[in-house]
Amino acid sequence: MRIDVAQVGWTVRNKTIIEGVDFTVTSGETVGLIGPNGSGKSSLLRCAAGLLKPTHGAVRYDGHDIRVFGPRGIAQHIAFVGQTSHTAGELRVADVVALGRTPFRDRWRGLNSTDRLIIDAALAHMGLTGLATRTWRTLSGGEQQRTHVARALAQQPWGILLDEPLNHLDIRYQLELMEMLAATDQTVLVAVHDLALAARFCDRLILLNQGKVTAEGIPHDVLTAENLRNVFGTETEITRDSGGRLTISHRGVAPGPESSSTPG
Amino acid sequence: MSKGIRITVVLALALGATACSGAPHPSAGGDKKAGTVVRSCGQSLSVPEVPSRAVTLDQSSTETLLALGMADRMAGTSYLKTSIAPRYRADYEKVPVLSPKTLTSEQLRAANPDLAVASFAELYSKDRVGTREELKESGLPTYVSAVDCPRHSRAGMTPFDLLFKDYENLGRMFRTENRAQKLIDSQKKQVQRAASVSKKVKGKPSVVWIYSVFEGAPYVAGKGGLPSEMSRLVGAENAFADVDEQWPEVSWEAVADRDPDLIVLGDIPELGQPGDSAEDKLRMLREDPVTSKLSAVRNKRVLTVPGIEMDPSVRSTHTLGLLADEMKDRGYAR
Amino acid sequence: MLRPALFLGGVALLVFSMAVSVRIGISDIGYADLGRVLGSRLGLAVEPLPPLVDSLIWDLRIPRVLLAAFVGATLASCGAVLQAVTGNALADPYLLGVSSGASSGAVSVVVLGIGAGSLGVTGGAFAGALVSFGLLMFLLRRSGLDSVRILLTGVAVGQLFMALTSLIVMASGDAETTRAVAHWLLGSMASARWDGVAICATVTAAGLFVLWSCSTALDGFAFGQDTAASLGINVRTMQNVLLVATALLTAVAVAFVGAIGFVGLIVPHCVRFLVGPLHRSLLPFSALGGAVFLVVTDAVARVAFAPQEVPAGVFTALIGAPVFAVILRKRGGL
Repeated sequence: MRIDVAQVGWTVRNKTIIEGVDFTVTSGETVGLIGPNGSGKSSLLRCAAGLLKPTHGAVRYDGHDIRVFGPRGIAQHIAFVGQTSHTAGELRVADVVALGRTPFRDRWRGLNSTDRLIIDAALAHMGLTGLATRTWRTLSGGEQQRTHVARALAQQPWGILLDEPLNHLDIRYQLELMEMLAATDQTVLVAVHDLALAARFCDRLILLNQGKVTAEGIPHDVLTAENLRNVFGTETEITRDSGGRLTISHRGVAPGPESSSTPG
Repeated sequence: MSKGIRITVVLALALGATACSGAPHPSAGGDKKAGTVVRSCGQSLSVPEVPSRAVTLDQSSTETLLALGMADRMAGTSYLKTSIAPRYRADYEKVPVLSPKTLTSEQLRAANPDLAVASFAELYSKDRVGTREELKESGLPTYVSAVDCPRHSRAGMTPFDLLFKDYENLGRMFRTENRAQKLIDSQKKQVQRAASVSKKVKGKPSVVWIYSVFEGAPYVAGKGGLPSEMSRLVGAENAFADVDEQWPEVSWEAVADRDPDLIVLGDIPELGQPGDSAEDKLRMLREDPVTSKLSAVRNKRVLTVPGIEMDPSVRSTHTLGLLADEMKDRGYAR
Repeated sequence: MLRPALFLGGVALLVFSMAVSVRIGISDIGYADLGRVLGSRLGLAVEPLPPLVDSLIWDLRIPRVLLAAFVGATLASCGAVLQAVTGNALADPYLLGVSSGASSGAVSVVVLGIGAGSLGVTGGAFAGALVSFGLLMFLLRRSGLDSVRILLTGVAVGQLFMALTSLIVMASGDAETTRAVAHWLLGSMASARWDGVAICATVTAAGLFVLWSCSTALDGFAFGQDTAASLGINVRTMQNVLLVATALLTAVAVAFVGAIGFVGLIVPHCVRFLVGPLHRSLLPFSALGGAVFLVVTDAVARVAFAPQEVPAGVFTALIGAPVFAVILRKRGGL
């Protein structure tokens, strides 16, 4: 499924959070969203997932404006994994993953056998089969994050939008998750903090700064020393190894007034 | 004797009334067993037989029935505000106490009464013993003191007239008209004796009646209640007669402002709250910076009476007597 | 499956507790008498009981037990729903200020004497609940029903109507009104009659069905509104439907029995331990649990301090507060 973000802007209380953002994620592509804190990554993802109504522009799935889908229709196309979502309840892992079936459930019907197969597969995919009956409260941060991703998979979406899914994850699971996102057929738009992981697993990157797209393209083109100095305010040395992989090493804070401040 | 309330002693007509109440029909000959019908606060009570299991819903009703000598016709009493007057105590102990507080709907029904007597219409509410209508449906006549529903009485009747009306009504229902008449006569005499004081009273001394003190504020007698009437009878006037409420809550300052010639304090030590005993009230009067300067307080022109007697009851003439004596003793009356 | 068996067990427990509860009170009723009361209503050839005993069972006890069951079910289900919608484990039907609004409405009716009688008070409470709820929605119209904001606005609205109630009571200054209001605010089943049961049964059945039909959506609220929306739930619409439904249900419950706290708070928490947090099971089990809890609590309230009857709301708080403390400890926070 192709996701078009067309001239999207979002303004709240006279404060412009994102402005004129325009890009396309083609079907099956894995696109990384990078940028400093407050650059508008979360708002952009929420607009793309239909959770925020953009004040300007439109979001389209396969060319259809998502406003015509309605919440349920959107949820049948796209899964969204937010940053920190916790629950006070005594939900078990399997219950949380089962929430992914919500967009497909009739209000009177319980889970059917197909739902259960899908849930089991999602649990297995995220290595959670053994934890299925554990309650949310007893999980580590990483296990909770993986449960959320499993829940998104149980939605069997055409596209997955994830907001900083690597937080709380041990490095092993960070790699596993990024590998999975890169390998999947689904269209993926993911906000990532770790530039090296973004560079390694994403087909393309979108660099966001102060609500606007500063650079867009393959990692090699986006992650330049100049871009990083302008956006993050760091002096960075970027090298490419024999396999074509980028190595990013931060040398220090860039001098001068150029250093980017982060709004909010 | 006033005929303000329509009282009908039905003989032949009782056939219809008793049929409604579900009691067995009296024999067609219309003999002496025919019932009594009494009007009470908008309802006509049909009492086919002399009540033998009367239940009283408050202390005043209890004491009235005891004064009429009906102890052995009562199935229970309830809602004691203060201790029973000594002269009724022996009889009182013969009757079961269903509840020391207000009766519940279940308690009343469980006592299987054939008549309920109350001084206040508000005791018949859904959250207490149930409404009079629903009790009537279950065949229980409910009496409410005429004092508490002046709307249903002839205009111009004083609280004492209404009290006497109660004795008359109860006397009819219990077939003890003579005893009721005796009680009426003796209390009338007490009223007349007190009223005779008024002729000798100089000017119009003002009286403040303090019933209770709740959270520092005194509740005093306002317009229209028994205290106003008692004041009038002895030639004085209720200082708060202009407040259109029976027991308004006022401030000590307002009491001082009226600068009464006499203060009457209700004594209800059994309630057990600070301010319920006359002693407490007197102390508050003396300690308050404003009221302590009142001439009534400084000159100890303070009369203590049992609090319950400020409300209309068979004991009220006692307080009226105390007041009349006080007027004489203090020299308002020559 | 375990659940249907457990549910049937719950129903059996409810029937059992109602059967036991209907017997206990100021006078214990035998099942033979109960049979005669029911038999005579069904037109069977049984000898009817004396009218007052029949009235005690049929007019008071049976409606009271039924009303307790309906109100308990309502409050517990509303608590479970509000906890999900606001994402706050402390949410409870009284949180939204609905009970305070209902109190103001009932008091206005009593004081101003609009359409007096039992339906008047109930109608006033209902109108008050709707007014306070309307105010709540008006204040929340822009904020997107954020969970903390709902809580705080609810508290503010509640305080406003509490003050309004006090003001009305103060201005009326009538001791009987004050008493009736205080009694009503404590929450008591003493006024339960068939008319209340009929209305409560209808509204409870319809309301709980609506809430239950939203079970899947309610589960989706577990991780907050964003996640709920991403699962395809129309958050705003769903919140409106659920809040209106719970307000109506609470208003009816409050109108008939006053403010009974803690049922909506502790029952859902306890039920979660038993059947987990998914609303398809949680809601029916909460309804059952709430019904059993209030039926039993009210029976205890009737007899614990006999002959005095303690308002059921006092007992739900006495039991509820410590149970809630234990739940909080066990969960290690919210």
